Amino acid sequence: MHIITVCGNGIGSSLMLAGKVQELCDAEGIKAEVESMDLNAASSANPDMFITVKELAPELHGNIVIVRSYVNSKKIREDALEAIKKAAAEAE
Amino acid sequence: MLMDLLTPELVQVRAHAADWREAITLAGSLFEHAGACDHSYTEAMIASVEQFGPYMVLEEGIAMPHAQSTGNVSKQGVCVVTLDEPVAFGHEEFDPVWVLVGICAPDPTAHLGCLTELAGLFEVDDAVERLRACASTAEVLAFMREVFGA
Repeated sequence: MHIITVCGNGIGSSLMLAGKVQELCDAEGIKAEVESMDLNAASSANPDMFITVKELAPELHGNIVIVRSYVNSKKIREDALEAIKKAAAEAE
Repeated sequence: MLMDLLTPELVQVRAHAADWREAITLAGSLFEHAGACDHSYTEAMIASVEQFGPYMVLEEGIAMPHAQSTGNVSKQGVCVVTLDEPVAFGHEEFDPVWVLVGICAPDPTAHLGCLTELAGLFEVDDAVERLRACASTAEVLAFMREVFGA
């Protein structure tokens, strides 16, 4: 499964989020390739799932999961894990 | 290593900023004086918030200003600014901001290791309170060494 995390610049917040999401997927045994992108690049990408925050979500199209935090493992797990599991099942 | 980047000249405690723009300018000035970036990078960090909103406010009370390098960053940097009074960034959940942790990198991918480390700061529940309590650069560096184990 291909997951793209998104922030405005693609170098700070989304990179941290990508690390957290990769950790989460690894811990749950979900095979995922996670990368970060800036909003501009992401708007023309076509992953199985985007993960971003509420402010940036309206700019994206596709399967979008909104998280409350780029950095808090617990919140990221709460907000994204179910959706990741569902998308992973569908991607198989 | 993050603690190799965070030198005393990149820390400012209990500084005053009238608003979030001034707060980011303080962080940018530390980078500029350290020779890590030029002023256009500081402006780019501000422009980034103007363009994309306050998403750089990552947790309650703490923001991580940054921007994409356009050739205006000469070396990697991490800086810490704590404020004497908090500023609002317009974030619904995490305002007001007391602590800024700025980052800069000439090559975005070069930051990866350091950012993974920095993410650990946000797992410390009372990081903002602890940093606010620091009255000197030495205290900030001691706290950061404690968090990052260096």
